[in-house]
Amino acid sequence: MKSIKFSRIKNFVIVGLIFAAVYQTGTLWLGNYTGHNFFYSILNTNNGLRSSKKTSATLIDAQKIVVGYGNKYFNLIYPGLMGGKDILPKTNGFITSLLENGKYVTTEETVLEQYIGQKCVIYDFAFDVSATQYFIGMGTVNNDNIKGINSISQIIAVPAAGKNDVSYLYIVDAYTGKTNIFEANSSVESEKLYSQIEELEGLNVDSMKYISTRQSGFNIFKENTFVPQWTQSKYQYAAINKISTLSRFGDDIDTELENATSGFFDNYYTKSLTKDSNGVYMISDDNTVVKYYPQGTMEYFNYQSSANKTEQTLSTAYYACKEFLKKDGTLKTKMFLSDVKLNKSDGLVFCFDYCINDIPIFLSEKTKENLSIEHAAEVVVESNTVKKYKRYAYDFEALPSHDRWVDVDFLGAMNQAIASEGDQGSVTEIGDIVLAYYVDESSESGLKWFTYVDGEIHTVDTVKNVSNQDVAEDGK
Amino acid sequence: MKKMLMGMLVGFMICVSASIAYAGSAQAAQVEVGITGDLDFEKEKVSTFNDSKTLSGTAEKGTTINIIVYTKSRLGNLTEVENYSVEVGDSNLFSQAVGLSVGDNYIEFKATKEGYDNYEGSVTVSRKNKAIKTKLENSIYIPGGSL
Repeated sequence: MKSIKFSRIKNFVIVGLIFAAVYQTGTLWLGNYTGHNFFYSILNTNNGLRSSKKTSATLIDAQKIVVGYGNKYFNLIYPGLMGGKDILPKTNGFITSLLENGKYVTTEETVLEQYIGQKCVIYDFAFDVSATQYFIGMGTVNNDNIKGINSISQIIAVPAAGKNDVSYLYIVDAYTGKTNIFEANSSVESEKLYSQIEELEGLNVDSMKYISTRQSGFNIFKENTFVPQWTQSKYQYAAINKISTLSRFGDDIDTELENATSGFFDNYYTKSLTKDSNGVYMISDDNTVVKYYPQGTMEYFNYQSSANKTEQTLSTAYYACKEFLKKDGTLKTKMFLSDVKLNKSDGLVFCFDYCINDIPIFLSEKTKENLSIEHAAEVVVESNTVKKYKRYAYDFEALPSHDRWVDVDFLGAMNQAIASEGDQGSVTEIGDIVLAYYVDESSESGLKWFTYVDGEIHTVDTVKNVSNQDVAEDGK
Repeated sequence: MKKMLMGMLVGFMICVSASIAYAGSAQAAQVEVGITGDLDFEKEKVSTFNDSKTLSGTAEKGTTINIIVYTKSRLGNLTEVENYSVEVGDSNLFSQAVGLSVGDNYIEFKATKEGYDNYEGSVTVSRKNKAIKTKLENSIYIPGGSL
């Protein structure tokens, strides 16, 4: 009797193990379970629920950080993915501290010229950021003070000037157009931020200065923008040189390329590298393909299915995007967040552009058209995983001599853009005007004005007596 | 009789002749200029710690803006150091940053347009040394005492 009972139990155990083996084999085949063993799920159960990979969130980066010195002059910093020098962590620390320890004052119609009249740091976002998502990334989402804010277009941090003064935080709600004002007494964080602003003012004495169009009373601009202004008759600068990623690798391109792209692959040994007759390099394994084209773009595709689909938000997707970009061993030039799009079929698309010495680099319309790319880099994130990545695979470096100059100021550029619209009276608004490097087929690039007039981008030369360039149908 | 007839004839001719006078403006209109930013001409003298100031505003297309910066010696002698000329375009805006030397800077502003009277303004900008600003910020002032 005992032996029969024991035999039955043994049979049940064997059948159970067979089912477990089939299930485990199936999930290993279809999912990404590197490093998991049979007991992984049990060991990682949390409060009775199976926990999937923890999804982290991160702060949405501003497109640019504007530092104001209280004298109607400003400096612009494009923080990029590598951070915005010391000003970024100190401003973030100030914002967090003020929201935690300060109080809500009021919500009013925005009077921007008043807010930026003192020493301040302005976060200017490329798009309207969900307030909830922004503060999740900051770690202050449970703060009651911010519950009434819908979406953010700008944040203005005004630290207290002295120990007995008051700090202010202005959050401009993109949805209502109004500003939510918070205040707090002077703190360690406000002192650090104030000192940092003073330090920057001293360091940037010879840097390009910017003025606010709103403070200058230029109502033709749709929204406040910061434009460069100099006292000399011309502004001298260095052109930039572009270097193809592939040309950097020299003779042993295969080895260098494999090493540079190893971050994209889980297993170094399972990938293969090939080069086709068109000169396209392809590094791939079962799930991932990375291609480098001789025309100057690189592409990444992740074909792995997301077996455990995790809920994606703006901040979690951006975290995945930033972590992914750290793996790009061929990305050497600073990039900043230019835009974000919601693509119904793909997911969230984060768009980046290059910058150098805090001056943005924009591609010419012809380059964009030829390479089917709108920005220097586009990252598609779905279920908190990067599925596609396309980048203009060039690095940029400033040439040693400042032998180029700008003698057309922002108003001159604007006048040319308005004149090219034809009927002067038909121009209703100027969206923005940006001084940026213009990248086309040439190896060297200089500055041009990019003016956004009634939804069209006009590129205007920065040297007098040179005719206008292309007009694009891009909207902004 | 003859004298009376002559007198009547002259009087009649005076009454018949048309008036050649008209009530026109004694002067041409002044060019329209609006100063909107940073520096204006309401005050005779202003002070600053900045090494530059921006003169900005609105004017009609075709207006020429001339800005001359003089340094002023203690004896009141003016020496021209900068001269800017800006033509207002389709935007109807102008903006020019002017460099300032430490001490008194006398700024002359003139807007001209054909067929209009000039618009003129001037201001003295006294640029202080930034070291004084730092000293002021870090000092405690006691009335009657010195820094």
